[in-house]
Amino acid sequence: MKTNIKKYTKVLLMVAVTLGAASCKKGYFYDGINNDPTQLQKPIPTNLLPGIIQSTGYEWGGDASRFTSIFMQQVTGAANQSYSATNYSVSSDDVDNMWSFGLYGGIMNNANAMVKLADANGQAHYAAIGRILLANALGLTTDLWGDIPYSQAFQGNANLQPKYDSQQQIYTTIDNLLTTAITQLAASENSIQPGSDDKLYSGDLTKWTKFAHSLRAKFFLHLAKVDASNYSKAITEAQSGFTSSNDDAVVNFSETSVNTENPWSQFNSQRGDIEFTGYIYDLLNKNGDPRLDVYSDGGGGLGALYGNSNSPVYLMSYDELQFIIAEAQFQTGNKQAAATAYNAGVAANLGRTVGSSTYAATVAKTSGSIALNDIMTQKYIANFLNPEVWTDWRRTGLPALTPAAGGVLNGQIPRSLLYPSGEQRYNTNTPPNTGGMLRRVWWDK
Amino acid sequence: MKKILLNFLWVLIMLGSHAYAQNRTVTGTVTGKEDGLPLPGVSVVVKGTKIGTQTGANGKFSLNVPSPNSVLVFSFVGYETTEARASANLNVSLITAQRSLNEVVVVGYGTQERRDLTGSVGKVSGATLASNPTPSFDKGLAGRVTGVRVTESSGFLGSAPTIRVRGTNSLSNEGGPLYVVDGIPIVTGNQSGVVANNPLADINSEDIESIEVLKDGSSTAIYGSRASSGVVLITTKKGKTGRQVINYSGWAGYATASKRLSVLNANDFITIANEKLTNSGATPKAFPTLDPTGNPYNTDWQDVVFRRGFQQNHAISVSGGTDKSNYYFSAGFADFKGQIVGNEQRKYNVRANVEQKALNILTLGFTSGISYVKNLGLNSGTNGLSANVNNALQALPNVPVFNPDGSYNISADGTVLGPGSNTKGIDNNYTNIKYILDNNIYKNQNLTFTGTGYLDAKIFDGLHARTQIGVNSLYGEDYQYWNPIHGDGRPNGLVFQQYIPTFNYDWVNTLTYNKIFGSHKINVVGGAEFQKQRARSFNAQGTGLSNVYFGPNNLISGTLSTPNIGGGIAENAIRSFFGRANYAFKDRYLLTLTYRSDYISNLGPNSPPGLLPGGSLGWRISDESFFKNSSALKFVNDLKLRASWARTGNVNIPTYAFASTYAPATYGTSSGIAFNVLGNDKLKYEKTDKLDFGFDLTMLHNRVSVTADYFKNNDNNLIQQVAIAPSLGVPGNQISQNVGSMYNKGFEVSVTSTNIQSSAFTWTSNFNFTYIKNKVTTLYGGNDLIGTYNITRVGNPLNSFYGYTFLGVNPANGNPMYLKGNGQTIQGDVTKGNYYIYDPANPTALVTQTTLNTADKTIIGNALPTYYGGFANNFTYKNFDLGIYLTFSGGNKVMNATRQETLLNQLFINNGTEILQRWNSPGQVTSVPKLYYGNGNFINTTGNASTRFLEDGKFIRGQELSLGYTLPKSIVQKVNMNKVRVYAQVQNAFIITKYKGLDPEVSNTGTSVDFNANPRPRTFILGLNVGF
Repeated sequence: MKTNIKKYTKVLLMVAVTLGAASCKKGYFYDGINNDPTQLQKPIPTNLLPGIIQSTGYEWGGDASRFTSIFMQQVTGAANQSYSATNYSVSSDDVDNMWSFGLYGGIMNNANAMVKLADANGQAHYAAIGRILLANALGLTTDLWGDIPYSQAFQGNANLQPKYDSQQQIYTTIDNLLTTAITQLAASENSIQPGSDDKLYSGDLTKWTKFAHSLRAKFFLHLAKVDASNYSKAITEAQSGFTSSNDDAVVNFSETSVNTENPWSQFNSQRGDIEFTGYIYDLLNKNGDPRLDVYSDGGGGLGALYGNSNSPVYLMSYDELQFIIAEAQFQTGNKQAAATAYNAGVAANLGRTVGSSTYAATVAKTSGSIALNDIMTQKYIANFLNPEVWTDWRRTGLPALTPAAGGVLNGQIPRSLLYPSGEQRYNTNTPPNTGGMLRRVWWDK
Repeated sequence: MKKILLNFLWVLIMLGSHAYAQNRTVTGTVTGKEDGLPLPGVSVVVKGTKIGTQTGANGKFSLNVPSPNSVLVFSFVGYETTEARASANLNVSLITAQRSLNEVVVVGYGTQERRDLTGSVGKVSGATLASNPTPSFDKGLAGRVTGVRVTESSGFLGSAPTIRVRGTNSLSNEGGPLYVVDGIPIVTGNQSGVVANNPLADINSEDIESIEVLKDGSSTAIYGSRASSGVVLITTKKGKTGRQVINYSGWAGYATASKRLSVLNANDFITIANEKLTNSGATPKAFPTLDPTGNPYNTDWQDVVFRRGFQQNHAISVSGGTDKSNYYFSAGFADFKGQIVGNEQRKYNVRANVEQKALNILTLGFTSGISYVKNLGLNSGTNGLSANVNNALQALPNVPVFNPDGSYNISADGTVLGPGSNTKGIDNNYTNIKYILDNNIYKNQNLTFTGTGYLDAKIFDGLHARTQIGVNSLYGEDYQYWNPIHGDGRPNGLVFQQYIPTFNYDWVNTLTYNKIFGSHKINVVGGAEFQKQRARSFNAQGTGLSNVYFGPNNLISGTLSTPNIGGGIAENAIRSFFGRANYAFKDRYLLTLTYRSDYISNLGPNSPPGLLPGGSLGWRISDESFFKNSSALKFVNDLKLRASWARTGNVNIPTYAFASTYAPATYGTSSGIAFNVLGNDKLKYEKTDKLDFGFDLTMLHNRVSVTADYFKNNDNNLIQQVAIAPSLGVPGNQISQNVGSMYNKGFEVSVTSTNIQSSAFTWTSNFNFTYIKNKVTTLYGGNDLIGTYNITRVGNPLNSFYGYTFLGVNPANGNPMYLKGNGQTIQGDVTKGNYYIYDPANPTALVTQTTLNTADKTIIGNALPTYYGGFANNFTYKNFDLGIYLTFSGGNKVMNATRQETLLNQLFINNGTEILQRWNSPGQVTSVPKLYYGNGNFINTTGNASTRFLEDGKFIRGQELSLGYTLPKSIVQKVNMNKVRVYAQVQNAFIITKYKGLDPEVSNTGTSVDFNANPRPRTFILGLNVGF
């Protein structure tokens, strides 16, 4: 009997020790086991900002630039998809990456996250910058596609079928984002400030404010076709915009690694499907414009200005703002102000491209000689490779372009892109592509 | 006086008679037939009586028998019971039991006798593995266990074979069984970023006592969430009680490529290359290149990349024990040069297993193995410009490897192979592969430690408590160097060095209770297990090497102008509780129940545990009275019926898949973060429900044993990367979800028989056969998963081949013809690269243009074999032994992409000899279309499967032929040895197949696609086994 008790006690002791050791070791043993050490679950705005800016630059110099400049005959596609694009044959599959890795996946999801985080942490300045970048990307997306998801987007598992907001709602959203941003930038707060992580302005909040105003002006101008009162709103807003080329919103690229190479340079060296010939080159040649030497490398390739691996990508420039003012002033009857702005725009653009504004005198206009075609043509040249050129042409029809001979749209130039194949397949709320690429977005109707 | 004489005579007669008859004492020694070692503890009994004894530590026995004609019965666990007529000096050898019921089988967390087993477990003994040497033991499992398919998909020394137990259980076709060594799950899978490496090669085959493969639900369920792909249990040797045993095993031999592809010689190349050019309207550009003696060069580049590789392996072990302790020490050395130039492996390993009993109730012990393996490799990718097979099959045969002055034949700008007298350079930028193999370095070295320490205490009679801690740590280092002068490293060179430490820690506590109450036999085990794994790596690399002198050895500071760094870490853990109860009533009604609950860290902190139950039943029907009394069934010795069902899991889910995370990236000089993965915190592990019905039969005096099983495994909750709308803003637009399901079902049969057994000649054979079908039953949204050559579609097997139907070559113009989806026959115009409707009345007319694309693809074949197995025959005649081992497989097709893209290309590079059959005159009936330079992608539909290149994959392989001779005892004992055996062996001796490529098993993409794969070796070895 005694030995049995002894043995049973032994059992109990062993079991107790084992279980005790098990539970006490558990904490130490499994500490942090659910956290992936290589990926963050809780980023901070400082981490997110460089990527958002870089992705924006990559998209502005990538697919968005390629399709628009092909349509607008600033370049010519010679092979593969670029060749099809020259004939206006761009499928839903071709534009899928623009949403998946570019606008929605690369820029807006992260910008949205940054805004939420910054608002929650009371970091008003980061929140403002996030809003500006978000508005900028939203603007391009809606200009290219029309109605797009926003208010229900980015919700992950909670909403796998986001509804599409109308373009009118999107434009209201954009304006709200920008005005909130402008207010937030003016507020004073003492959290960490953007600095070296700000790849656009290195933390200069005045420049961000000017950028926000300039964007606001641009978006008012877009809506002027719907409501002419937007012209004067644009002019007012532009007063608080860029004041010189030092304020330009420019994303810099360096050639240190493949993911920081200028997108045009990367495309040309990897694919080489695009030739740098077309209407704009013929125009520059005919006019003896010195910008021909920097837009082209003399052999059908892209000039070093925008074509080197460390060339910058312009999101929006001071000269573009001047042309916005010029057009708005012209449409509201103030030809003097229009001519002044026009001349300033030309000079500024020549300054930042060829380094000398001597040529400006050749195309200078006065209040008597200025015409809308002059403004839009010089803007078209100044905005070489910027996606904005397509929006400008759709709004004004200038400069007048002849549709491509092999075009598949019955002799017309496209007016919007098809909704991406990913959206059509997996989001039941995607509108049908009625009218194909001739479908007009709301402000284009 | 007379009385004395009579007595004296009587004594004489007695003396004259057989001495034995007077003594009636039998003495002798009992040894094991295979190793010649004495067997202590063997029971020696006079048949039909209770008179008996046991052999002592030296195998000797002495027994007084009642009659000179007594028959003695020798029996011992693990050996065939043998009978022998008594004689004065009776030496008996016992043969290891092939499939004896008393065989002890290792199951999870314990052992069972085979007679009590209700699950399906296949066993391979260490002796079988050791007598068939391979670089890693897993390759030696091919064809030995029913339901286990071992495919060596490449001829590389370091690469691991693909092992599937009863089919594939995941849509990605990844993941093999769980490997457990002495109770601790070990890290498997390629541990190098540079050279194929297989951690299972760290285990010396000589150290393995047995391998058990747990196949069905009941046997695997105790491993719960890691068990759905089967479990392989490896047990290392322990010392046996008795005298000390010293063994030496060594072999040496060489390996050559078992087959080479037939490529054009220089003259044929010139003809074909020029025809390609002239057909396309260009001028001929290929001409013979003359060497200094005026003879044209004719280079077979396969001579440059393949060789006869010398291989040797040595292992020595010392073991012994008393009834209180036992020990096993071993050391091994191996040096293999592969049949592929540049591929080598060198291994050193040591092992120490020690066990000690103390205080009558405790057993403590440890097992430890340390190994160092160095693998040297090369660029062997499918498509690389400097990949060995891709290059050797296409390099120009009419130019030399070296220039007459001894320098490498390289073009003037240093980028490609020199053109010789051709007026055009080689296409596709192929390099001089000899330079590449001589200068580039791909190296991995790995120091692995696997060890366990355990303490087992007997609480009271029948109850044992055991705790065991196991550690498996791997310290690997990669090194890669690309020479900057020529090849992949041009122009800046590359140096890459990486350190990869991986650590796996496992702590198991169990309580086991064994008891027999009358006719009830109970065995219960319950326990808790804690396991954690951490895998880390960091690397430094750079380009811009200042001087090639600094390349081959190590990263040297200051030698690289553009450095770069990287690193990562991942951890996961499992916490589990498990239990198993075995109950046997009257030794013939058997029941097993198992249960396991696993908390898995990869599913997130809030996920529920996996609760995995299982059960099985067995009925020894041959013990029933109706069976025993039936005369018709007398030939049956033992028949057990069994059935089992269990739910198991598969934890091969993406690490940290439950969390939405942001990944780091650098932007110029800043480092930042961007959204990366959308997490799914409702993700569950994949589940497999396994059903099995089977029987185990021994008959004809235990000479034949048959095991057969019918199984069905249902896989559910298969994880797919489900596509989502881009407006969710997730790069790559996907999220992991449990949506798929599929099943594997089939049957297995294994027959082992001792066909002839006499004192001079024995013949045993083992035949095993598995038939299996796989079908996918659910996919997300019913959507197909489409790959390059394969498709996974609901209602079809995984990865079925999906492609075009080829209808031959149009004899009128040499165009390839295909079947369009709507039933029309079309032909592809090789000159323009367009398709046209074919009009049989007017075969050369190219009028109505049409297309050939995905809409015309259909499912054209099966990628997974539906049957496979092995047939082994072993013969012994006196001291000679002969083994013939065949393996076979079939029911699948192989997509021969090597023919499609490499051998039949239309560029200025070499081709296979099949291209000599090309069409070149109207009316010619052939299967190779007209040549046309530059249109290879169109003519051969590269990047797409087509029936033109889909070949039958069935084969019979002569896996091993071996002939051995064991020196007679008399000679051997003179030098104090116990056994000496010499043997000669050929591995992969021959293959019977219709497949035109190198080997139907060679498929380097896992989907039965052969694309520039390296050949498997044929190895010839001579070996020596010595036992002291």
